[in-house]
Amino acid sequence: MRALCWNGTNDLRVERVPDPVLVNPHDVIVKVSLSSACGSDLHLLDGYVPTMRPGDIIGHEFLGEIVEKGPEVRHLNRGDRIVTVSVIGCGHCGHCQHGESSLCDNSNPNPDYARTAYGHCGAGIFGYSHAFGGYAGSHAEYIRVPYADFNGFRVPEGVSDEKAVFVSDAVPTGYMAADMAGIKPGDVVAVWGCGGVGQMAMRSAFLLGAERVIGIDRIPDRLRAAQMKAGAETLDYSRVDVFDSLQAMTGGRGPDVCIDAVGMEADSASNAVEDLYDRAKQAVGLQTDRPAVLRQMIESCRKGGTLSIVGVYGGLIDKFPMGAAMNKALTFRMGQQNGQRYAKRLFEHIEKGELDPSYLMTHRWSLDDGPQGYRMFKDKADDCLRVVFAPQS
Amino acid sequence: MASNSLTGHGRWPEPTSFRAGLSRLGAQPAGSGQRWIALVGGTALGVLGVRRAGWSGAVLALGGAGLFVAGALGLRPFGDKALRPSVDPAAWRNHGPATRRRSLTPERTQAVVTIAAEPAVVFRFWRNFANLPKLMPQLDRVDVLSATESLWVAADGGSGDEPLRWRCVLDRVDEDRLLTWHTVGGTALPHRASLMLAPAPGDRGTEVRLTLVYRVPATDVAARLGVTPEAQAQEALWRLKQRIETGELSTTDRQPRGHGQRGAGRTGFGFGEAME
Repeated sequence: MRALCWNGTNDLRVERVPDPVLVNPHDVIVKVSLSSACGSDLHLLDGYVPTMRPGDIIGHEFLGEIVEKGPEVRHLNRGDRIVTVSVIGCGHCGHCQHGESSLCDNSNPNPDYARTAYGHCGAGIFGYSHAFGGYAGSHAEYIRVPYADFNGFRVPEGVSDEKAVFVSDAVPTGYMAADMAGIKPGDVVAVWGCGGVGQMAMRSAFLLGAERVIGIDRIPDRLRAAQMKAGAETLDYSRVDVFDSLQAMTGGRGPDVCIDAVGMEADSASNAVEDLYDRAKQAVGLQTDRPAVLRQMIESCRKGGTLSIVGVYGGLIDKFPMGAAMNKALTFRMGQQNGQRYAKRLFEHIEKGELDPSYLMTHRWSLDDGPQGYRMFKDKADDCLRVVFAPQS
Repeated sequence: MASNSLTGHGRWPEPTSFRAGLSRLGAQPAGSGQRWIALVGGTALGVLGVRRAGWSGAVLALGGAGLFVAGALGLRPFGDKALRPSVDPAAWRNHGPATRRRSLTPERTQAVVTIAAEPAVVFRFWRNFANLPKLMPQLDRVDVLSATESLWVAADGGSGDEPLRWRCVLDRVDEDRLLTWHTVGGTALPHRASLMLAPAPGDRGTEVRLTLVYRVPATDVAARLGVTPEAQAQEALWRLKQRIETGELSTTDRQPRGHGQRGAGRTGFGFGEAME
């Protein structure tokens, strides 16, 4: 089969590789119909993830049809059109049973990396480095899905592939950001990052009762989409002071909830000195992540408010304003997405017409165009929100 | 995921496995300390050189610039040896040399895990020693000889030598709570061991504690079994948990991957789409 393989920094190639096979009794093989690029893949391409190995197949947000199933798979069948949650749960450990599948004890076959760095090991993720299990990714014609009964969700009839594919990652990540923030009716929610996840967080915040949502970014077409599609007010952080603007927009209180949909490669265009400082420390290894968004959220959030972090951080950060966080009595919520907990609820929202993530798919390309697709996505060219590959075309 | 990255190059532990437990102890990231010193030192030399007139100033400035560029490009101006350890996300968890010494020659090694199952389920699985090769890949088989005696045969490490064997007897069998056993007769790896079970608080299953006490240094165990006692205990419980909770072991064996040939000289995505 054909697959998009990582071979080094900024070196992607479509290669011919063997087809996947069933290995464990709870596996299925999925014929991939759609597989989306994700902002988190850019860190792999840029070489920020040292546990990548040349030849790794990337991609983790996908939809397809079951063509083979293991003998212990009970709830899914050949021919089922399923979406698979990108973060893999086993379905049986204590975390999976309590809706925290991203903390799964069992799905990562390489636990030593995370244990050494974090103390404990989290779940495996498709196509996302050997620290997260080393699973082959979805930018391929076929993919093996472990623990299929728990991770695969039949797409309801009437829901198109284009709407359903993002239930794999972008939608549950955004929804979880809003959900774990405990949004109450009347809340003002600020979302840093207007990419696919950020926009889904904005829609989800409205679904959960937010009165106003403010999206923060600097890319004009993303700000436009946040306004037009997600219904948010927007701030261009390259043009305005974010803190001053947020206070002005909230009567001096600050947003009740601040959501980070950016993560460790944040820049700080409004503060060149801070940006230079963070980049220099990251370049020489004195910190691994750039926390500009975190600092801004802590400063901007209202007293007693909540920070919800789904933008991912990998290691250490510097100059973290713990004093402000403590003395403002802020609540921090964070984590990788627990999509298995939300998938059915999200399909209900989609079926009712309350959520339509299909507009994120600004480009639908052949897998053969994978390298160019990622270049366009990385450069944010041609108003690209997400490029989605169709491996069967 | 909204975005994700782990760390910069070289700041993560080397890929270790349970079988390579020893190598982890010696793993030492290197590189960023040198870069930092090169950048700062290069800048200082450069400023000094620019402020000093004449040839010596020019030489200093040139040297400083070179050092700075070497640091910025990630070269190793001071050779391959790290001048100081770089930032390691796991560094805060290192508890000093005492811990390392203990794990190198563990007279006593202990691993713990919580399994989402009743103690009786865990106990039944372990009590049948014939199951243990499923948890310890360094074993070929365990023959149960009687109610208390068993013969353990190590897996052939590929050396062609006669595989290591030893006999064990059970000491205590406290149903669903405790199991202890020890080697008898002549063996290269005399040891005793115990498995303790206790209900986890909050209805979270069973806390399982495996203790191995070897009467030889850990290095001898590693040389003969290919695994340190610490790694052996951890892996056994990790596999036990997976077997009981999911009925299988998570794996990426036999999965497809590309040819893994780095594209020398490739500089962008557009150059990489060639089909093979």
